[in-house]
Order: sequence, then structure tokens, then C-alpha cells
Amino acid sequence: MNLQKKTLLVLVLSFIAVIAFISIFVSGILLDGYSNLEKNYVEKDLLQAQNKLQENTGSLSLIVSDWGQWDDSYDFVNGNKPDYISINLVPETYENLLVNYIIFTSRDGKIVYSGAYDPQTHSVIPVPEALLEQINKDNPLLFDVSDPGRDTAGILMLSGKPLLIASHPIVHTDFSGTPQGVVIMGRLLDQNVLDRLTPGDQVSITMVPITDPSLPADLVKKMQAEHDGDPDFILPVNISYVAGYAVIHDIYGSDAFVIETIQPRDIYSQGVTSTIQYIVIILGAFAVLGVAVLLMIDQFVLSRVGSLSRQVRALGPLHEIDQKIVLSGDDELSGLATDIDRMLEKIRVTRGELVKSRERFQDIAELLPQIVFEMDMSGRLTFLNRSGLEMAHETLENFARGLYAHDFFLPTDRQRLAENLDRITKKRETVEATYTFARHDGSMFLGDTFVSAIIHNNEVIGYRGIIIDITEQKKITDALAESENNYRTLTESVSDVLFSTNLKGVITYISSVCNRYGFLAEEVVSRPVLQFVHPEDQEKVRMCFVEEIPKGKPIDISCRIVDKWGYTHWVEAKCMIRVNINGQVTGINGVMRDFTDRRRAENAIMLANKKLNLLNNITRHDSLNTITGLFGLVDMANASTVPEERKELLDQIRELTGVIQRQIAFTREYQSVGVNAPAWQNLLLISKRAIADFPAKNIRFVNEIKNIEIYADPLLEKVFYNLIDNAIRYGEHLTTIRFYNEISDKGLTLVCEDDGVGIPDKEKESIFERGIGKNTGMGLFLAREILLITEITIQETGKPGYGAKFEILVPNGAFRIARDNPDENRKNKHM
Amino acid sequence: MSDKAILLVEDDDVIAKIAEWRLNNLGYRICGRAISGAEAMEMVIKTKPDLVLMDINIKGDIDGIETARMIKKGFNIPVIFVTSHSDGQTLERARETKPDGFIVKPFDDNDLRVAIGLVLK
Repeated sequence: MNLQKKTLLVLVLSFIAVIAFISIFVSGILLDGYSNLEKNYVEKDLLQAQNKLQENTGSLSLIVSDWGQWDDSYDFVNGNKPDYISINLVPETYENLLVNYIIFTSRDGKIVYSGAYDPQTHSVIPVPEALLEQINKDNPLLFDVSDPGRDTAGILMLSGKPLLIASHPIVHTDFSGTPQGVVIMGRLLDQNVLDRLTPGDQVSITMVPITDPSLPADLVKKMQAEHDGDPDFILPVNISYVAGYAVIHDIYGSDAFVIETIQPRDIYSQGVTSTIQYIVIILGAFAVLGVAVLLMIDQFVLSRVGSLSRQVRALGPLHEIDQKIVLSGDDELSGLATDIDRMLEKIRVTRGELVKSRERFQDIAELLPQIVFEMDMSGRLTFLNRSGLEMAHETLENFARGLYAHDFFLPTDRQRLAENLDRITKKRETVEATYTFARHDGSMFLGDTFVSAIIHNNEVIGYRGIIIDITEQKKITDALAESENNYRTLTESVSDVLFSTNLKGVITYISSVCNRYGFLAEEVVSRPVLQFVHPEDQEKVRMCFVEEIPKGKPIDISCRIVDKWGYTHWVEAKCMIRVNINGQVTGINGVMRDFTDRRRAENAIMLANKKLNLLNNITRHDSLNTITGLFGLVDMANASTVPEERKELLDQIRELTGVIQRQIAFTREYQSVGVNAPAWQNLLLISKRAIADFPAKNIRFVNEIKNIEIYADPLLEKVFYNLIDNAIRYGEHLTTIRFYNEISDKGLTLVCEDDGVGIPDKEKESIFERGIGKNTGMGLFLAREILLITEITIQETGKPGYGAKFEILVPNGAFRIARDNPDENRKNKHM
Repeated sequence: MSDKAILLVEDDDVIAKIAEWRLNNLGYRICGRAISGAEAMEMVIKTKPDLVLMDINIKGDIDGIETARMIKKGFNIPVIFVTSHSDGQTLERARETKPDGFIVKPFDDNDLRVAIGLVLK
């Protein structure tokens, strides 16, 4: 269906829809209005008929009142006027009064006179029994004759026919006197009477008993249900007539009959006619407008769009576009034609560039050292660059005859190839893989392939990719891996730590030997060097990175590092600057050697020399003092002539000579301090050896020292010996000497305590001074000096009177848990 | 017997006894002996000696060099150091007090006579 037909169809459907909508809407609005108007008229006519019936009732009531309020009637009822009937109640009276029945009753309801008028015979005949039977005290017509002014009027159904009836008490003309009875008059409601009730010529009125089966049953129900409201009911009889119904009640209040008005539906018919005319007019207007719009759309849009469409369709294949699109005018469609023309021009240009691009791609592909290929889904190579031909040892002739990619793959690789091609086809992604390619001459090469799908119209039609010959690269990589393995083996076999950092001092590599400091290489890499440097040396190392490394010179630096357990190690690092291919400094490569033991030994020797120098001075000073005394005493002895005095002086000379001897003996012991380098010594072994030098008399030794080694002067055993000797000499009531050790954050504390008299507070410091003491005064002094060689301290912390307690503090890094059991070793030696 | 009074500052009893014996033999009067710097200052005030023989290594918190500095500054009394020290640091400290003489241990009568005679002549 072309655009014109579609437009016509849409317009026609829209026209029908609009007309239908207007018809429904207008007919609904207008006909409802006309129906309401018609109903109003019918109601008015019904009301008019009812009013006229009411007027008839009123006029009958006036007549009855006139007769009841009359002295003659009064007298007649009382029997005082015998000629009353003959004078007044003659047939002409009935005719004049338009009544059918006249009845006089006495006060007690007894019929005094009754007469009915027969218009056929123009005579007075007896009143039907059916009427007389209703004249009793229960009848409202006789109700309460005590009120002389009371009138009663209404409808009374008599043998199924309505009778207009009225009564009035019989009183004097001036309303005086007690009512002596009632005068009742009745008028039959025949067609003549109804004709007089008709409000217009076109309206016919009929009275229908409410029990008449011709009345619609639902209408009767509604009328009976709405008894109190006395509503009127309007019902269309057919398209031409409408009926109105009103219920009339009798004097008892019961439904007597229904007044039915029938009248032609002139108003409604006029409404229908007007509605049809209106719709026809609208229909005509829309038809004219629709045709006009259709013609205009066709003229200005559809035919032009059709022309544009035909021209575009006639353009032919994309690569042969050379026509121009022409459309006259200066509106949007002509603009669109111009735009399409421009777009075609762009396509022509783009197509040219595409051709050039493809040629360029082919040129590049031919120049590339890598293999560039394309193949269809069957695996036949559809393109292979020059490098590909050379690498495959193939010719253009062979290529033209047909080469299949699968032929170049080893059988062991073909399953993997198929899986990768399947993955490329399904996931449309580039897949990288390494294969061994086999040439037809049997030679092989290793290649990295990067293959992706060739997609046309969202369908994979082949594969395109490159192959990089990595045979040589693989050889190099293998050689590099072997070299790296050798290098790693080498770095892990040397005791020195190899490391690299960047310019910021962040460690980028460290050999696994670093685990001797409690760290894994993985947890050290990426952390700053300074995190491992002792706080006191961090500034020196930092300045090295800030000032020395940028200068590009080799660096030798010694500093302390802190291991994972908090122990300090002395290291010296020799670093070389690392530069990149641009000559820029990128960091350092270094070798770190631990010289903690050497450093300790150097410190110990330095301290020993210092001590020996001090000892030299002290000894010389003491010796000279003593010699001064000796010379003096000798001179005094020579000068003395008194034998006793000379003897005393000679004794003093002997004593001073003994002092010199002890000083010389002390220097022999002291000169050994620091002479030999400190070493790791087993505390348990040393303490046992020292205890063995004191064969127990009455002293108990408790040795709770663990299997621990400390770094100390080889004279460490002398310390234990002097402590035990000191305790035995001065402990007085000593019974027990106990050795034990404790480890805290300060280091290892070795304790020697006894239960002797202890050391007075004022002597706790001086006991370690030279010459203080009850014996030579050298024992504790020597112990302290021996320990200080390796920075071990000693102090006395016992409570005077409760025993002495010597605490020897070995700093962190100067003690360790022994690997060997000294007792076991000793046993082994003895074996 | 000279009337020159000499204060002996020496904490070693034997040395003090020898020194006292030698000075008496040389004709000098020993006006007192102190074993510490504080005691020496007290006796200088009390005895007003003509010369102080001062051992450098004496008891107490103040050594002989510091005591000699105070005596010379406060009382202008000549001081001769008697010492066995030969280390350069101690001798340099002693020299800074501009002492009136040095007697090196061990000494004999002649050492005392020459040194004291030079100061008191």
C-alpha cells in the first residue's frame, strides 16, 4: 500500500469516526432535550385535566352547599315541607344542575329522599342500591353533621364507573340551627364530562380503571408504589404518540382510576428531524473538507515524496552512484532532496577514501614483517601478505590455487585451533594464541597469533589476523630464563643481601637472603628502605638518597638496620647507580653485608685498649705512689737508730712491697680483658664451669639458667667466679647461691642472688670501683670491666640483710637461644 | 729551722708521713695536713700557710687541681703540685692554674728542697 492509499484510508476512517462521534453526541444531547420538553408538555396537559376535574368537583360541591344551606331543605328533612320534592326535585332540576343523583338523609343517616335522573326517559328513577348501600354512617359523606359549614366532595366508584359526588349538612339558610341531615348529589363521569376536561384539540383523555389489563403492569406497580406523591408518568406509546398517566383517588383515599392522555409527539419528531439535518450538514462539510485536504496533501506532499522515492530507488548500487536527486520547490522536501544529494556526495567521497584506505592497508600489510592473513570459514586463505608467503615458503601461484590454514598447523595443535576459532565466532573477540607452524617442506617456526572475526551483516564470514614469528624471541627468552635462574641461584647462595631501590628509596628487589632478618622478600619489596634503618641512622641514609645518589657516584655507606625481632645489625652497603636507556638515574642496585660481629669485636677491642690505657695510668700512678712511700720508708729506716722503729719501718716496707705485688698481679689479669675478641658463649656451660671451681661445703648452688648464648669477652667465666667468690667471702651466713635468667623488652637479665647479709645501700655503687672492698677491691671492678667490653651492664639490687642480688643486663642482639645442648656436646666429647 | 709554714694536702697516709718527715728534715714547719679539697680550704683559712704542697688525686668531689685554683685565687698562696700523673690531659689542666712548682713522685729530699726553695726564696 503506497503512501497515497494509506493517507486516503486514514482520512476516511477519521471522517467516519468523527461523524459517528458527532452523531452520537448530538443525538444524545438534542433528543434528550426534546424528550424533556415533550415530557413537560404532557405533564402540563395532565395537570390541566386534573385541575378541570377538580373544578367539576368544586362546582358540584357549591351546588350541594347551596341546597344544604337552605331553610326549605331544613324544613323538608324535618318533615315540615311536604311539597318540597314536587317543587324542587323535578327532572329539570337534575338537568340544570347536571347531576345524576340527589339524596337527602336525616340526622341519623336515614334516607329521606333519593332520586336518580334517567336522561333517556327524562324522568326521576330510583337510586341504584349500590349507591344507597354506601350511604351510611361510615361514609365520609355523612361524616360529622355537627359542622354546618363542612363540605365533602370526591370520586366514588360505582359499579366500576366513576361518580363525582358531594355532600353538605342541611342547615338554615343563615347557617343557624342544628344540621338535620345531609344532602348528597352525584354526577356520573362519562365521556362528555371527560371531553370537557380535555386541555387541547390534539389531546385525548380517557379514564382507565387501575385494574385495567391494558395498562402496562410495571407502570401500575410504579403508580401504586408512588401513591402518596401522586406523580405523573409519561411513556412514549410509539414514535408518533406519547401517553401521560395520573392516578385519581376516591373519597376513601383508594385508587379509583387512571387518567390517560394521548397526544402526538410533535416536539420529539421535530427534534429527530433537526438532529438528522444537523448531522447531514456536518457530514457534508467534513466530506468537502476531507477531499480538499486530501487533494492538498497529495499535491504538496505525497506526489513529491513519491517522486523523491522513485529517484532514490533509481540510484542503483552504492558504488555506482552518480545521479543527482532533483525536486523543485523550496520547502522541506526539496531541502531533504538537497540533503540526500549532499549525503550521496559524501558517500562518493567516503567510498573513494575507503578505496584508498584499503589500498593503504594492503600496502602496509605487504610491508609488515609479520604475517597478515584473511581466511574464509572453510579455512581457505583469501589474503596473505608478502611476509606470509615468504614465511610459509609459498608462491603466489600456490596461493592462487588455494592454500588452507589448517595445513600449516601441527596435528597436535588443530583441536586447540578449532576451539579458538569457535570462541572467536561465538564471542566475537580477538584471541591470542601461540602455535607451531609447519611448512610444506617440513621446516617449522613458532608464532604468536592474534585472530578476530570478519563480520558482514552481523554474520561471521571469515577470520583475519596476524602472526608474529617468535622463534628467535623464544630462544632469547629461554636463554634469559636460564640466565635469570643462574642469577637467582647465585644471589641466593651468597651471604650478602642484594637489593634494588628506586630514587625514592623504595625497595624494588631484594634477594631471599633477607629472611635471615626475619623478613620474606615479598614483604620487604615496595617498602621504603628507611623503614628498616635504625632511627639514629635514618637521617644519614635519607641524605644519601637526597644528595649522593642524584650525583650518580657509587655509594658506600654503613649503618644499622633493625630486624623483625627488634635486634640491631651493622651493615655496609655498596651501591651502584642504575640508569635507564636514556641515561636517567632510576635507582640503585646494591649489596649489603652484615658486619655486626666485626663491629662488636672492633668496639670491644677499642674499649679494651681504652681500658688498658686507663689501667696503665692507674697502675703507674699507684705504683709511683707506693714507690714514693717505699723510698721514704727506706730513708726513714736508714735514718733511724732505734731498732724497734727501724723494724716497724721495715714491716711497712714489706707491706708496701706486697701492695706492689698485688698491683702487678691485677695487671696480669686485667691485661687479658679485651685481648681476645668477644665470642658467643653458652651461659649454662660457663656457669656450671664456674660453680665447679667451688667444691660445695655448706653452700647450695641453684642453677636455673636456660640454654642461652651471649656475646661477651672470653673472660666471662671470671665474672661468674668473682660473683660466687664475692658471695662466699662476704655473705657471712650464706647457704644458697642461685643463678637464673629473665627476658624482657630491655634484653636478657642474668641474676645471681644469695641469702647472705647483702650489700648496704650506700655501697651498692662503690663496690664496683677499683680498690673498694675488703679483699683486693678488684673482683667486682674486674667483673664490670669484662662485661662492659660488649656493653653488658651489672648492678646490685638486693635488699640489705636479705642477701645480695646482682643483675647482669645483656642488651637485645647480644644474646640468642643456643642451638646445641651443651650437656649433649659434652657427652659427645667424652665419648 | 725555717719559720715557713707548709700545708700538706695528701690523702695517702704513708705518702703524707714520708712527706712530713722529709719536710721536717729540710727545716720546714708543717702547719697542717688535709686529705680533701674542702678540708684544705678550711686549713688554709685557719693556718695561713706560706706554701701548699698539693697532691692532685685526693679524696672528695674536688680534686687537687681545682683546690689549687681556689687557693691561689682566694689567698694568693703559692701551690706546688705533687703528682705521679704523667698523662697529658691532667698535666695540662694543672698547668692552666699556673702552679708555682711540680714535684713528681717518687720524690726525695732534694726534689722537695729545690722546688720549695725556688718558691719561698
